[in-house]
Amino acid sequence: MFKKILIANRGEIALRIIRACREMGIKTVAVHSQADNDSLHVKFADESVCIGPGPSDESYLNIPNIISAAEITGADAIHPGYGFLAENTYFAEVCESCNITFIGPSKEVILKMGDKCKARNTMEKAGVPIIPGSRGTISKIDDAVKLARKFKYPVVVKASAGGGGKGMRIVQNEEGLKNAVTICQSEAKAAFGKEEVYLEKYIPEPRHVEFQILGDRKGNIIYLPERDCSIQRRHQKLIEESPSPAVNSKLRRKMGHAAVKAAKAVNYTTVGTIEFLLDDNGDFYFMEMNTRIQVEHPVSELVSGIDLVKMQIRLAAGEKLNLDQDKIKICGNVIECRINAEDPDRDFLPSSGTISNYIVPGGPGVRVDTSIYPGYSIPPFYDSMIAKLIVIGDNRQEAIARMERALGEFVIEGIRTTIPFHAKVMADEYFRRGEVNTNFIQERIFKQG
Amino acid sequence: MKKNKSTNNSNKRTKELLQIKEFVNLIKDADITELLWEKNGTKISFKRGVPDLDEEKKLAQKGPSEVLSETSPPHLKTEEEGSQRIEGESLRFPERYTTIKSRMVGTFYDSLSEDQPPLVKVKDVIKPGQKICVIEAMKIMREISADKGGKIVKILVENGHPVEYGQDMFLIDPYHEQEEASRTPRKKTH
Repeated sequence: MFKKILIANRGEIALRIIRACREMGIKTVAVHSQADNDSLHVKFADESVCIGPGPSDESYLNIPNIISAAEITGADAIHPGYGFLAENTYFAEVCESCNITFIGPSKEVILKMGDKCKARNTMEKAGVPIIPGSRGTISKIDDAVKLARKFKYPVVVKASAGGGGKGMRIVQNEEGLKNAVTICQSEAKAAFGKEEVYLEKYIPEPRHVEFQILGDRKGNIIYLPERDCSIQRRHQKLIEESPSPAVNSKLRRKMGHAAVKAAKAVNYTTVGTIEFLLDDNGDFYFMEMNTRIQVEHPVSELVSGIDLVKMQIRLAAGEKLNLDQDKIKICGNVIECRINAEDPDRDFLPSSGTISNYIVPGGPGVRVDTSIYPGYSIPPFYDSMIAKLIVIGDNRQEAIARMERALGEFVIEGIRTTIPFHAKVMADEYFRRGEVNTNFIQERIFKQG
Repeated sequence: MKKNKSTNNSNKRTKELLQIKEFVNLIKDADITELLWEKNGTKISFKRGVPDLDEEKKLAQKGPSEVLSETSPPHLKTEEEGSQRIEGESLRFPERYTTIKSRMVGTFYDSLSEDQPPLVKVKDVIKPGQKICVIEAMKIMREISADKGGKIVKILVENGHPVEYGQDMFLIDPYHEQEEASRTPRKKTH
């Protein structure tokens, strides 16, 4: 087992890793920017090293300084947390060459899964369902028509060079398709200089359902109950829950097996997440794989009773996965709300400042992962997420009631937060019935005003 | 308060400096922690225990009311602010002293190699750009040059010890020449 772990991250996740290490008897090194001198991860770690000024690219992304910090403190492993360098192949490589264990997958795996096109091909070969699409670009309209008939409408025409919804056209029938291909081609040429377009089946109002998986070096891989992360705003997850109201035990097993198949395809040896889109018919499609511990990992920890961060550290140290798929249970219904320092009344404008008053919710079934405290000043350089509020109940109704109760107790003054926004979602009748999809925030919460 | 008129130095800057020195001595001798002086539109504020020269200047510009309300929270300091909060050192250094900070994380060495003498010693007068130490990071030895000149008052890191980003390595007296000049006439007044 490792003797000393350096945590190449900040905020609540750095604290989460320090807590796991302390309980495991592993010494910790916090690295921090000058903007984080007074942060809790610096206070709670056994040692700390300042690695640069406030901006991330000069501190939390400064590989030479982080590696040097590991060297001068004698750390034998680095935990990258999420974000920053967690999926940076170069960083994983440098760690390896310096004989420091990178707590995460190998650079080859990160590379394979980081490239969306490569990942898609790997999954297709492994027999994991992917969104049906043209293998390459389409030049002839006839080919598009043939493919669309095979995929069944609606389909989406996308520019190969596009991204983030740019150069995209959703079409419902053959007539529309012919126009869309022509328009998309000329638009793509104007915007990206390339008129290449491709075709994909369009999944209307999908859910985002993901599976936490764990693997070891012996090839054992298991999955935990799914997380439903459909409640998003601009592709940013806001609320996660487990189990998903849309997944029954049969579908869970089917999707879970697909997730394990996906992980096996790349010989996955640590914790990771396979993201799927799930449609109304119970058909699901591989979206991407996250080769790191995720923000929403506490949801899986509460629902399964497994400490994922400790598991991740043990697996990185080469220990065998001592969990049986058959013994994985669902311990209750879990909901997580991400509390951001944003003003929901002003289009989620980031709100930095000093926390004046602060009261943390507690009581049965409530967990808060945060690194803020009264008097803490939120630096302007980083992510706006300041806390994760996670609750577990015997059933979904109890979990919602508990979340409402905990949100009511949560006091963060001095800045604006998304707490009132979450309360609004909890009160929404569609949410309470479990009828959510990735358009939920846009369709239900914003349109209500 | 004795006016230090004995100096014949026509250099205005030196005069000002001496005046400031007088204030510093006044604060030192008297049991006060703060002094605000105003004359012909020039405001100077002194505060003991807040050893940040530039911070003081800024506060003085803000006006007395704001200076008094300043509670010196644990605030961020950038390289440019020239903090004089020196870790593990009591704050008995004159306000003008500055430090050379590490811009990287690594192990500090005072010489180019073990069998060579230290690059600089206490009391050496260094120029900006002069090699002053070596920092080893990721198995690479980097020669570090001074970003400012002056007389080395103290070397704040031990040979072979780690340094972090922004850590003070050398305590520097940037006005050592002026000090030498001012010392001679001042002796006469006492």
